[in-house]
Amino acid sequence: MKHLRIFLLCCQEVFESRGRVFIWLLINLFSPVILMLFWQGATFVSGTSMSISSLTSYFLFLTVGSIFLIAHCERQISVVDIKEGGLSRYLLKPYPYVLIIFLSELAYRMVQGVLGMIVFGALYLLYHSYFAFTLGTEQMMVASFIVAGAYLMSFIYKFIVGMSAFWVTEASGILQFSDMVLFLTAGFLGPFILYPDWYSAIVHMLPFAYMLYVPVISAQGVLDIGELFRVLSIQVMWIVCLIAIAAWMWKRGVRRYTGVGI
Amino acid sequence: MLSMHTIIASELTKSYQVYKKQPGFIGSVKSLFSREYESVNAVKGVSFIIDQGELVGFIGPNGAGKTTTLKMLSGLLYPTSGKIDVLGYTPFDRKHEFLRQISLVMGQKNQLWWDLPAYDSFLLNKEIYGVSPAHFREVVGNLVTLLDVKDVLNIQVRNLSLGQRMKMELIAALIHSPKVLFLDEPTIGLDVVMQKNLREFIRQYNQTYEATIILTSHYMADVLELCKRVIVINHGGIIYDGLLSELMRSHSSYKQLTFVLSKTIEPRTYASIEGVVSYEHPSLVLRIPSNEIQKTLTKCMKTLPIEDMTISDPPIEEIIRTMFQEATQ
Repeated sequence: MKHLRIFLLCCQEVFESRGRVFIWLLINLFSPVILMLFWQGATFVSGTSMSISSLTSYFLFLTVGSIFLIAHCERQISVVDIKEGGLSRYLLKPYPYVLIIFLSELAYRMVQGVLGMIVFGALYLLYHSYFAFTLGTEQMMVASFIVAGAYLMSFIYKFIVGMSAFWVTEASGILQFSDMVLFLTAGFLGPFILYPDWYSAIVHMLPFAYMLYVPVISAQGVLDIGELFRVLSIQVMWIVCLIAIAAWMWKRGVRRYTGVGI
Repeated sequence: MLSMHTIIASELTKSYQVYKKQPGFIGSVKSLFSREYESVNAVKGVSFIIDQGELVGFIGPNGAGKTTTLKMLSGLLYPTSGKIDVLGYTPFDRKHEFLRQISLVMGQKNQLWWDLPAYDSFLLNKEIYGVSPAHFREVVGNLVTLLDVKDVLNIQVRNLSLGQRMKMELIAALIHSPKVLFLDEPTIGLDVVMQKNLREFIRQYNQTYEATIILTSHYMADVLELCKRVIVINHGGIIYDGLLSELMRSHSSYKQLTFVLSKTIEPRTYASIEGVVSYEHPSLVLRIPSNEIQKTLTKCMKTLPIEDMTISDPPIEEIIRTMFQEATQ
């Protein structure tokens, strides 16, 4: 109940910034929609191994997925909390900093996600003739765990990126780089099936595909139940690794924290 | 064995590696390839003991190490060396049992949610500290009345005045009734009326809860009104730890005599009196060594048309300034 009440208070804070919610929603929408139109054109002209309906539904799921699943807490952690000293107000409270950031971010994702679902509905109405969705009940249950795992991975990844500010004075380059890595390897550009095999092989060895691409194709019903369980186990492995890295960085980083000035 | 003291700091040191950039464009280019770092000691071997219920003033010039020491005592910073024991805990471990018993209020930092009314931040602290609804209602009710902020409880924090915000900060910091309170410049930026109200409030809190309070302030009025004991820190080291009255006595080798005169006098009338600091009718102010008071008074009685007079210690700011100068020399 304690965590729920804190989460609801975090939601209240999100509701206060209506403009920010709306602007970020638009930003999250633009890129997938543009890329969907591009790939539809490319598919129509040259022909690929993927049907237009699969492609369209991929981008529809990607649009909502990126809104729901990709955390954006790194700037808060690096700039506001570590660089400007905001961390002080959390460090001296008997509540883990990571948890309060997690709940704040979750509140933001939920609000954004609800808006995203509305957009999804609108896009579905426009593109329903191209829409392919074949997810069974059993698959849906496992896929929902994959979605939760993906959010957790994305959150921990962004938490790690934010913590880089313990070591560097100006972390904005690192933040930009981390976004670029996600853009290139998490499936934002399009389904990996459209890319060369070597590229697909590399991105499947990295954690980023499991934050967005794999959950999106899981929700589409592309993977069978066996493959879904395999994905889930890979996610668990990555979550353990990311938690270990985050804990290691936190333990050392917080000792370097000065709370601004000496 | 359980500690009898609330705070024990022993040989506390904090040093930072600071990048030393050579001036100018060439210096910037060189810094791309190699950088020189130097160690800056913000706090050097500080030791003291504070007992339960004490209200101690921590004073010193800018950069003396006051805030750094407070940050180490509260657990925000990790000391380079030395030991700290607060309520039987090592602060930097930040154990939840420890954090539930302390609070740090920094006058220049905001711990409230900026976009929400302060009351929502109070609710957040209620959940975080596990305060029961009854205790929350009682504490917040009392503090809101005492600090007279009932009318602004539901206004967004960013729309509050500095004074109102500071009051809200204090309420947020006290919801869990901490046993140890670290106050870093709590009256900074406030007008004199508000400063006085806050001081009164801090004194009441100290007496009601028998809380241990460490206060840093640039306003000597805060220290004079609230603290029996002061710790004076300069260049990272303690130069005095003891009673404020003793500090005043030992460092005021002279007294200030202020006469109220019944009629205007010419400069030649007081030319023969030593130690005149100023004359602006009807006040004549003298600064006299303590052992010459008797002699000077006798002489003034004979030569001046005195209507009233007071003998006082010099202002504390002056005493502290002298101490810092002596310490630097």
